[in-house]
Parts: sequence; structure tokens; C-alpha cells
Amino acid sequence: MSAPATRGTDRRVAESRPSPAREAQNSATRWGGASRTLLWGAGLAALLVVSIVVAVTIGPAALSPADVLASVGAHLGFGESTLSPLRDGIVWQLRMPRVLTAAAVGAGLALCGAVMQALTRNPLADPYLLGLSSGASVGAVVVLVLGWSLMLPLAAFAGAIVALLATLGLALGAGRAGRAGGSAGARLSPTATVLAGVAVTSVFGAITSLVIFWSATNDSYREILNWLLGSLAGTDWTSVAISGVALVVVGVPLVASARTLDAFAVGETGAAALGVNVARSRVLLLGGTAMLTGALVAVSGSIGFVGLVLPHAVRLVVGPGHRALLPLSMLAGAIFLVWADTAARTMFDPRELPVGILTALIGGPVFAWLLLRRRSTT
Amino acid sequence: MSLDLSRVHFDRAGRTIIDSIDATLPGGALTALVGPNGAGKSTLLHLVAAVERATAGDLALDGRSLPGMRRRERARLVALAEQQGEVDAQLDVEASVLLGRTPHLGAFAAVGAGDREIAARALDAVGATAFAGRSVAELSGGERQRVVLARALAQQPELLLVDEPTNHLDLSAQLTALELLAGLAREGLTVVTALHDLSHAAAYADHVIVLADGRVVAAGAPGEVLTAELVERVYGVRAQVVEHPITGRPLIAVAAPGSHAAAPGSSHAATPVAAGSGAHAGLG
Repeated sequence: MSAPATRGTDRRVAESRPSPAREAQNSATRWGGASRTLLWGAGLAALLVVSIVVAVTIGPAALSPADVLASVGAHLGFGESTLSPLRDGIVWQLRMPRVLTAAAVGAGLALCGAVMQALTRNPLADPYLLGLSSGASVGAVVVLVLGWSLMLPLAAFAGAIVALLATLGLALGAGRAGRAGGSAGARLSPTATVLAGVAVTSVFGAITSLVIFWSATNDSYREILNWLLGSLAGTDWTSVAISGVALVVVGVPLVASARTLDAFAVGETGAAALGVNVARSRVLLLGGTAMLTGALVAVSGSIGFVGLVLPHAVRLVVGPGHRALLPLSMLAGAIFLVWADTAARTMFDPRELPVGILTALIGGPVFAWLLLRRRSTT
Repeated sequence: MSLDLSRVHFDRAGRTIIDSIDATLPGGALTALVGPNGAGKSTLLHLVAAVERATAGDLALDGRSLPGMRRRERARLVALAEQQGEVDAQLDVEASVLLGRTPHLGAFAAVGAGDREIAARALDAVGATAFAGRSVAELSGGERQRVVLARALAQQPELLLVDEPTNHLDLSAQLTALELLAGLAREGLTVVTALHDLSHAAAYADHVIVLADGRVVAAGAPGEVLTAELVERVYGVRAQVVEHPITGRPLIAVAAPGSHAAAPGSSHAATPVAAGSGAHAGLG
């Protein structure tokens, strides 16, 4: 085909070359700031280690960081413990597993939140707000009542999946109902999704409460509160194992999907045109978040807003690229929950506050801020 | 690279959208897909990009079946610039364009200097270098459209599919966009674009395919295909092909079916030349 000789205009595009200054500025922009990401990663990792050690020292029995390190060293096979058996037990049997569980749960929830926000293209997505946590609670509580505690993570996963399907199905249905004439391809609106999550959370929260109330003999109110609001009271090394294994087995593949999650920023059609298997990615990645949420809820109940707050905070610092966002959100989530739980168990000593109350206290205003910001940009 | 469609068929929800299309689109040329709203232009582009799967038939780029390819491999050959391409408002322009490198990058590979260079050239090509550092949220509709096109170019495709490149653009920007596509075709890229404005198709395309109700009504060189008779039949309007007073290319003058020529000097003249051609209808 020969190109026509005359065109409608002699305008020429694309003649200016980028200036050196522009290039320099570009190379420093958010997407590829690899060294910046590494710096933040190293800083947060160090802060996490310090936080864990210091958090273990905090509590009614006074301990120093040196005591903590001595106890940990002894249990890992480096020399003899210099602590009395009682103090050693406080470090190794009580506080350390609790602090480590807090770190794993915080990291996992933040990761789930970041992944869900990308997949549903909804800045308000979070395992708690979309009902996954409440579904996982039902699964966990039911097997605990039945005495099948070995099934705990599996049941919580099943509950999370059911809740996720219910929320997304409800939101899609609302999207279709809201569109007269029923044109093809209903979309998940962020608002409908969050509303659907409220409905699902209410129902599953009620079921959790009913099951506990029906089965428990004495202190059912406290137990209900711990499941609904989330609490790390009573966590032990089994909790560390469940949450830690889930974090590695599910978390690593999720973090490795960063580039796929990036592509979701251009919508489903756009992502498909970039070579992403949209349907399969969505099922696998959402399934992964449900699995991870299930394992975390099984040890901690429904701790809310960690998955909402931390990814947004990290995004403000390193931008929206998931290769940096996911690992840094995990570190930030771990640090956040370690300190939130430390506050929860010491603020009203000797009484314990369910840690979810504190995370909601911080997360609620952030949620409101996100709502207002969404409004101003769309 | 030429694109061959053989018996391509697509049903959605029990309705036939694309009805067993056969067509050959020349390589290194600009092909315009024209036709009324709902004719299947966007759907056909989606089928070529394999964003949607054809119910039957095959699409081959230089003899290689596109649906049979691995996704990433296909995305290195075929890029789609959507009509209202979604762009996450949180991204800056450069990051958004760099997403076009996705099919070229491994899961663990970082975006490298070479990728940045390619993204910069793509922004340059669409004349968007000036807002590379800005947030997508701050851009106008026309600027966003250029960013979407730059992302497609950053894929370094052999086949570029562009849905309604003139939508939401003012007159001058429309011509700039079409010039750009024609220029890319002259450089050897195979470009397929859905257009509403028949005069644009006549002025810029090397090859025109007219779609109606999911079928190919006519295909060939614009001068041969875009006749008054065909336009009247396909669009149900009155049409006349005249010579463009500036470029000499065919200009398709259209008017509503009942229109009559008004007396000279009347302020209620018949529908102006080439207006009402749907460039602002935005319904694809």
C-alpha cells in the first residue's frame, strides 16, 4: 500500500528530544527507585528486629533487651541461659510467641490488603472490610467448638473463601441491578464492594457470636469480643507456626506476582493486552489472600484495617509499584501490629484490650480520609 | 506484518457480534475499521488482541496464529490502545507508559535503563514528553489518550491496534493523532484503527474495512470503498463524495436522510460537510 502523498496537515509530532534534566528527573521517579526501596527495606527490617526485642521486654515483669537476647540465644543453642526459669519462661513461652505472631499477622494482613486493592482496583479493599476475616472467624470457631483443632486453618480458609465469594457476588449483583438495560460486563464498584462487605461481615459476625454463645459455658462474651475484634491473647508457638508457615507458603508467591498486580492498574482489558491471564491471576491471587487471611484469623481473630492502612502509608513513600509496595507493606504491617499489640496488652494492665480496637481507632480515620480523597480525584 | 482473519466469529451472551469475517489487512499500512455504532469494530480489535476469544475462526499475523500463541509472546507482537484506556490515577505518566514493558520483563526483572529509554521514545513519539513526570490524574482526556497510545508503543509491537484515536480530541489534536498513526505505518508498523469519521479514513488510511452488523460490507482502498452509495446504505444517511479543497483527498459529505440543500446564504444550511460523522459520539 502506498502512503498518500498529501496529508491533511503538515504538523510534525515527536521532534523534541527529552532534555537531560528531564531524563535525570525521570530516572529518580518512583517506579524504578530500586536503591531507595532497598534502603527503606533495610531500615524497616532493622526496625522490626528492634521492635520485636523491645516489645518482649515490655510488660509487668521487667526485662532488659539483654535478657531477651540471652534467652533467645539459649533456646537457639548458643550458650546457657542466664535467666531464672521463670523469667526465661516469660520471654520464651509467653511474650516471644505473641510478639512473633503479631509480626506475622501484621505482615500477612498488610500483604493481603495490598494485593486485594490491586486486584479489585479498589483502594478500600482489605480482608476485614470485604468480609474475609469474618468468614474465616466462622470457620475457625466452628471447628474449635467441634474440637477439630487440626482443621483450624483449613476451616478458616474455607470460611474466608465463602465470605469472599459472597461479597464479590453481592457487589457484582448490585452493579448489574444498578444498570438499567443490563449491558454486558458488570463492574465491581468500590462502594458496592465495601457495602457488600458490610453485609457479609454482619451476617458472619452474628454467626460467630451465636456459635460461641451456644457452645461456651462461662466467659463467652470475652471470647466473642476476641474473635470479632481480634486479639493476640493466648497465642503460643503453634500460632507462630500457623501464621509463619502461611506467610511463607502463600506470601512468597503473592510477592512474586508484583508485576502482574502492576498490570491490573490499566484495567482488565488493558492487563490482558499486556499478556496477563486476567481470569487465572485473579482466582489464584484472591484465593491466596483468602488462604492467608484464613490462617491469620485462625490465630488472631478479625483484626481490622491493618490491610488498609499500611499499604496506603507505604504507597505515599515508595509509590504504587508492587515490587516495592508488597515487601515494604509486610515489614510495616509487622512493626505496626507488634506495637499495637504491645499497647493492647499493657495499656489497661492487668486487663487486656482486644488489639482490633486499637487498629480500628487508627484505621477508621484513614478509611474516612481515603473516602474523601477518592471523591476529590474522581 | 499482514493480518489474516479467516471465518472469525464471536458470540456474546447468545448474540452474534462478529459474523464469520474473512479479511486480509496489509502489513506496514494503516487500516481503518469503519462502520456504525455496534458494527463490531471494538470487538474485532479485542479479538485480534485476544483480550476476548473468538468463538470460531483463526487470526494470523504473518501466518502465525495469534490465539495459539502464549500470552506474553503475543503481547510482544500485538498492542492495543483502548478507546478509554483505563489508567490508575495514582501512577505518573512515565510509570504508566512503562507498564507497556510488562510482556518484555520477567517476573523478577527490574525495569532497566533500556526500558526507560523505550518509554521515553514512546512518549516522544506521541508528543507527550512534556508531561512525563506528571500524575495521570492531572491530565486532560486528550493527554490521557496519548499516554495510552505511548504505553502501546512501549510494547514495541509489530501490530498496533488503536480504538477510536480521535475521541475526545479537538480538531487539531485529531489530525495530529492520525498523522502519527500514518507515520508509524510508513515506518513499517502495521496499524489497525477503528474510526468514526469517514473523511479521516479517506484521508489517512491505506486500506479501509467497512463493518456493519458484524460483517464485512466492503474492503479495499479508501477511494474505491468509500462511495456515496455504500455510505448511504450502511449508515442510512444521504452522502456525497467530494474532493477535499485543501488536500484533494475524498471528503464524505453526509446529511440526514430528509435533508435538502438550503438556499445559498441561508443560516440553516444543510448539515455541514463531514460534521455529524460521529467523532464525538463516543459510543464505539
